[in-house]
Amino acid sequence: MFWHVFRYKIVCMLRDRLTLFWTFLFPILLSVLFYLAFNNITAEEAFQKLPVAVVGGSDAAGLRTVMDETELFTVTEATAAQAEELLARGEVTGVLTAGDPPVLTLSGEGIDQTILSSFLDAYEQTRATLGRIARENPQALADGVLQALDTGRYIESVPPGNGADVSVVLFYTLLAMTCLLGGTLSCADVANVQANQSARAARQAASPAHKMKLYLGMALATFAVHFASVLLVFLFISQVLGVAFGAHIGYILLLCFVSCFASVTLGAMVGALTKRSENVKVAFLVAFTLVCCFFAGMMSPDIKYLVQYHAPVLSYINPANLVSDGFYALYFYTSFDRYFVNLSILAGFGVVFGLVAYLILRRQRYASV
Amino acid sequence: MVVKIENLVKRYGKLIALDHLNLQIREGEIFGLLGPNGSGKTTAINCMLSLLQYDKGSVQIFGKEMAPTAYDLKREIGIVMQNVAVFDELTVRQNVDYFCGLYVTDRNRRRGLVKQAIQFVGLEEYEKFLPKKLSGGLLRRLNIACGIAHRPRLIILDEPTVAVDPQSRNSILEGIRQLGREGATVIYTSHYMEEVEQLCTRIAILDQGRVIAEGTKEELKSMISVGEKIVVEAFGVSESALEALRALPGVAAVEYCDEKLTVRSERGGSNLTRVAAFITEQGIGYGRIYSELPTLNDVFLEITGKALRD
Repeated sequence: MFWHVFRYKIVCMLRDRLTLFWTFLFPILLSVLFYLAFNNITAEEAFQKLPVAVVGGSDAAGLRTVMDETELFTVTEATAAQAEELLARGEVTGVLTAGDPPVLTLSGEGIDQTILSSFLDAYEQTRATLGRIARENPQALADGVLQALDTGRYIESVPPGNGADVSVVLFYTLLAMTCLLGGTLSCADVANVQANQSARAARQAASPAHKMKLYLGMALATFAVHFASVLLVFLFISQVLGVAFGAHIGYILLLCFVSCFASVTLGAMVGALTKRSENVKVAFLVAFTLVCCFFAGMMSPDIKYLVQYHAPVLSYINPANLVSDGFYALYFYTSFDRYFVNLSILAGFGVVFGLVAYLILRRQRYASV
Repeated sequence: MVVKIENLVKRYGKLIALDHLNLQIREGEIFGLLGPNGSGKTTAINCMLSLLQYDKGSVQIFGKEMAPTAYDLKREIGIVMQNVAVFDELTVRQNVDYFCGLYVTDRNRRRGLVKQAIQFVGLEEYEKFLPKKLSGGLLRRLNIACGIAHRPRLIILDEPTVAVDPQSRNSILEGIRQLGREGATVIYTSHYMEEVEQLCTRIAILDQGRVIAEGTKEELKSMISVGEKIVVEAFGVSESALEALRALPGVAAVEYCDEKLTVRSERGGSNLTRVAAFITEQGIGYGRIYSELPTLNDVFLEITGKALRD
């Protein structure tokens, strides 16, 4: 009977367009919107090379080489007149004229001008140091002092582990939302075995099917479909949108699995706790999920950090935060401690929710049908 | 005894839905529970099925106490709810198979039962249809198929013909008769007295949670003082003529309203010939003249002072 119920529940879910939309399509659409919105922001924040005019012909060859190595500048070789015109038109940030020392002419004030000025200072300092070494201890040059000299790196590619792109938090929270929305599905399963909720439930309650067996058949089917939807959304976000989740795929799947379990049992508990209609319960679960996701940083990652800083307890009892932080910990930390803390709390929640639902449903009888 | 209900009391706050209800239903009967809306028919059914907690009394089915965990008893019962109780996402066949599967785990046996149930309600052509594609009458038939597919010994039908077209209603009623002929005990609740009269071998009339009369339809009709009712479409009947009619032997009451003369006879009496002769003698112009035997509504009216459909 268990598999009979399981099989038909799967058929029902896959034929229910509304379920398919909210479970599969909605998170994917939302992730695309996130991608379009935050991809532009990231692109705008990316470093753009500074246009600089260099005057001096062959005298400026050394300076030009160093400038190319820094990857900070787009260099245009020009005569003094041309450079002056480019500067006047605002097409270059500054003009470097080769000489001893080189002369810098800037278009105004700002970060770009400061970068160019700092570069010239560092260049001059290094050039003076090397000149002094060459004069006072030429042997040192032969001994490889140039290799030991820190010529400076100006652009750094930041590896995972240093909080580079915070927008990934938004996608982690979106996946957490997908996980938690499973509660709305399992809430309907509970309504299906409560005789006071619908004629269909009453008919099933009047049958010789054991209530818990009936419920578990439905709940397992709901879990299976929900878990499949979470995996699909994960694959879409990671493979199509290219959001980084790190290489620990096994741990990611385990976190998805435990999150789905916690959300399904949460839905069952809410379904069993109140006698309100199924629509009211679903509305409550959707609102609860969205509030949790808000505090987990779905609208802005800053909220997640604020909660962690000012009310750390909240971040440990917020299931959405536990899920998104689990993904975060897997990607940004080399240690698994934080991941396992999140996973354990989620699993604990799942067990408690499930137990509460079981205890209520087990002996539930109705004063009115 | 298939069903034995003793002193069943069910309260909703201050409202008493079932007031010391007593019922005994014998094997093979088509038992009618007749009563107006709110008389306690559905509450009685829900208590019988252990879907509802009741305050007092006992329900025995097939000689055993009914309880939510009495799975062996539940296996023998088929229920057809007042509201259509099927899955919108499953086809006709899948719905019948699903509900039958809650009772019968053997797939091969179930396959045959599902086929028979679909044939029984005449939905063979609609096997692959989703419920939303079915008309109201066909949906009701599907609802019945879901309730009887597992071949229960006791079938409870709670107002199965509400909002059904006449053709489907006849089909449903004939199906229920067939179930009775095949040996099932049927409990049929309705507020349509004509259906209950046609169908049921024994009837209990419920009002305000109590059985106010019980027996075969003949027994019930014999409980009341009035007999046949003669209706004449008559024109210009004078007050003196009405008085003379009232004085005729065996006449219990006379009314004249909207050019319709109604003469009620005393129980067991027949006045049709006498009334026809009187009208001719008096020179009263008339159109149709016909007689009606007392109905269950008359029984209900006499016992409670109100009509069944009030």
